[in-house]
Amino acid sequence: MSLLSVQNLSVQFHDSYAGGETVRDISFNVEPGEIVGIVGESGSGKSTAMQAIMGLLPKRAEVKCQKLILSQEDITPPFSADGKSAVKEEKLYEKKMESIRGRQISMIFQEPLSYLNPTVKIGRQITEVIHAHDKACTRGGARQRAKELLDMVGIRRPAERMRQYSFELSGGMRQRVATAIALACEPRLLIADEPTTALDVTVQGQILQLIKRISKETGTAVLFVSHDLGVIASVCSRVIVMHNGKIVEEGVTDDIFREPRHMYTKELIEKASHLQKLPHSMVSRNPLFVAEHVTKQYPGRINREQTEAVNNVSFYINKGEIYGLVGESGCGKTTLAGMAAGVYQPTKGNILFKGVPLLKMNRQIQMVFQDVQSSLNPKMTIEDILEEPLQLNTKLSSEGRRKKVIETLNLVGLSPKDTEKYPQAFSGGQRQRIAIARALILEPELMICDEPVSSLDISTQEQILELLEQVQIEKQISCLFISHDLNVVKRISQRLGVMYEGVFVESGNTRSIYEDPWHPYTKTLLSAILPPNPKMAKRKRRMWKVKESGGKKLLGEGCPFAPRCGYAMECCYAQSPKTYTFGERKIACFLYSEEYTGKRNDDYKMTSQI
Amino acid sequence: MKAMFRKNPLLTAGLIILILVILLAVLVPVFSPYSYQAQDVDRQNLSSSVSHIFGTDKFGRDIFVRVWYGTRISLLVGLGSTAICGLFGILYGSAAGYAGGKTDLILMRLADIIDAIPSLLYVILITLALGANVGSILLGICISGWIDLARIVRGEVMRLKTREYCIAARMTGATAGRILRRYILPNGAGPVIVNITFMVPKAIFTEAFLSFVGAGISAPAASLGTLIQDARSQMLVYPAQILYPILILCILLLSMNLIGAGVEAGENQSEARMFISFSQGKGYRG
Repeated sequence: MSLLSVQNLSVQFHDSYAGGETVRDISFNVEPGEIVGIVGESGSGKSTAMQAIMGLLPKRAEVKCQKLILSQEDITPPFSADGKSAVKEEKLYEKKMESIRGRQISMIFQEPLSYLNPTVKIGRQITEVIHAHDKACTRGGARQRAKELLDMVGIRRPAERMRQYSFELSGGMRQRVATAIALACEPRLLIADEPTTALDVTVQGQILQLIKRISKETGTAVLFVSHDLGVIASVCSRVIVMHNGKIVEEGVTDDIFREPRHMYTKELIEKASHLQKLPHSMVSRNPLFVAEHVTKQYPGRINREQTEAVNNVSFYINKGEIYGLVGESGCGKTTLAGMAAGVYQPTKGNILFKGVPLLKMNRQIQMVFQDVQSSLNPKMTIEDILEEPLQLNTKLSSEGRRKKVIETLNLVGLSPKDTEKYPQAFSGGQRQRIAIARALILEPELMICDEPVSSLDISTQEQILELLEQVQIEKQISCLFISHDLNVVKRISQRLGVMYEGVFVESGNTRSIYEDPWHPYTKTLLSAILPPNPKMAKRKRRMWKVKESGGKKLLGEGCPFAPRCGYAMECCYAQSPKTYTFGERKIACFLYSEEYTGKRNDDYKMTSQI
Repeated sequence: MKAMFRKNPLLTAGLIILILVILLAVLVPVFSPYSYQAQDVDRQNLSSSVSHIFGTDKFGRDIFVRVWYGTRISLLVGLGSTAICGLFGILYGSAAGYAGGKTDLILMRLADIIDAIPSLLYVILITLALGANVGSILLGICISGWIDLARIVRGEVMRLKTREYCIAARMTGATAGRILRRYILPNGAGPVIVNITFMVPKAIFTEAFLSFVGAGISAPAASLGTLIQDARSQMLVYPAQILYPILILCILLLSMNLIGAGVEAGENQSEARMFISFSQGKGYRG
């Protein structure tokens, strides 16, 4: 007997903004205790289907379902053909769902910060849920249960944490708390809607393990919604692939990944595996852009404490090379990008572009941004957007400008017919193409891409990366490519730098770093990559154990990674490591220093120490 | 255009009433056989008739002409002060918001100082110094009327200037003026326009109030406020005389407020639409 059985569920929006069916006639079952993955691009109707099951959709959505059974209980939403369902039925359904939500099915959302109430302490938020569903529970009992729950989701010192607010916790902790709330009433089904998408890779791995462990311990079935095949491959036993609101394929994870039958699944898996490939490296040493000991400090508001966003960073970019920059959110990548673009000036150190100090913005350096929604002016047509740089910087006639605009649009794979449209008329991937076209139209020598693909779907991601690669080869543009996703960076860059808390911990040839990471942090990052292949996922069951960053930063003294590092020695806390150079590879870690390892002499060939 | 009217009945109704009022205010004094200031001792305090639609006042002047003449002045004050305040407020706010830092601090504190003195005091002082006419009332209203708008514009500019499209425009060499004109102001126009539409009724009301308390337009020129004030002395005997100007003032204010509400609703709607399109093209951010 399956736990959840969905038969012919359709959702339609009657709305001027979004017409048509978003979910079309889907049926599936979930057995008790299993983890089922639902994978598909954004807009494929995954989340809508989940919300329809929970009965959380707004009134303007028309939910049509033949049968929806949750552990032998009928929770089919009411539907009448004329579009207006009877008020009485609706009320009854709503009442029934109130008792089912939380107790039988509960949900974890993508962004825990917006899900948790910032004005209520964590402990209260959990006990509230317990009280809501179990009126007989005493205060002390609820508190005891909340402690147990927090302990179960892997939060140490739960009593202490219960007195904190959600903004005092890190992203991973918040997601743990959200999970604890979801589990408060021992639901039989947990719907996890992209629970790890907003988290850093290292934290993602921990949350996935947590969900897996909980499912095993408590026998809770999990419906795991994600767009990321790697995530799905590492946790789910069965997969449902959705495309355009329909289920195109369903089956055991191993089978789906080994022999996908449907074209769309094949495409998805191929694209995801493509990201795993390494680029051919071709390094010509001819630095176009050099950063020397660059530091950026922001004056702090309270107590005038200075925070260092970027600390003593040196690197160079050769002509015609893509240089990758990886790091977690908040490590100073974007600040560094801003300095490279000349938007801000470094507090200390020099930035040289073509051998000349970069003191203000240079037309030869252009930028592509992360957020496709805000990187194009919504009040300008595509033609205006692309024409403006030419108007300002060249003496081309309007005919010449138009020709150039069309030429550039063709280069990025857009049709010249689109010039009259506004950015709203385009999808995320297309907008990013327009943004790339804007950056390219002045024929810059250096393009800075700040997370250009992280707000895009996996298949669009691949297309944009291909485009960047093709453009870079065609035009011989150098590129500083910034991402939090090691997969993406390693796919496209020839050399890369790994950043942690404003410091370059390791840099060198992409291939050699990927094949043999030296710094403990790089190793952690690499081990957090989830291959879209269930076999590989099983093989590397154990992820590198790292603690989450506690939010408290040791300023000045010590290696920034030391509190999270498994190899931390005494010296790591006392002073910050210098950067040691071994050929192409540069590394900031005491494991590779002469004085602390004593292994090093002139002809010693350094290898990974971990 | 048609679709817009159907979608936004508030704005449509407001515009229709306003256009009617404007037409009447422009045409009635031109085509009427009576002048707004000619007195006629034989025709004092007449009630409504075919020749005098609203009757006559205690000096025998035709109230219909005087009311529409007064509406002209009210409209002039309302629209004129809004135009001046709007222009100045946008320029001032943009400058403060875009420059930021010390310039912003100095400009905004200066505005605070001007704003610290009640605006009525300005108007009264200026009418005392420069005489009670439309010009001095306009000036009085405009001295501090732009400040609220400047604050709103400043906020919008500060919010939008860090948007990535502005940075991209700066990187391609666009000047500050160009960025403001083409990138920031079109995108921040919503709240600014809403605020501007509400400035018109506020100014009309201020003028009517001033004229009513006697600090406004002086006789024989008439504004709606002075008409109400004039009729007040015989309110119990001839209530119609006070009723007509009040009615017209109400209609005028109503139309303006309808337009304001309509623009605001339209703004929210387009924002809602934008929100929906955002959430559909849902972005995953790491």
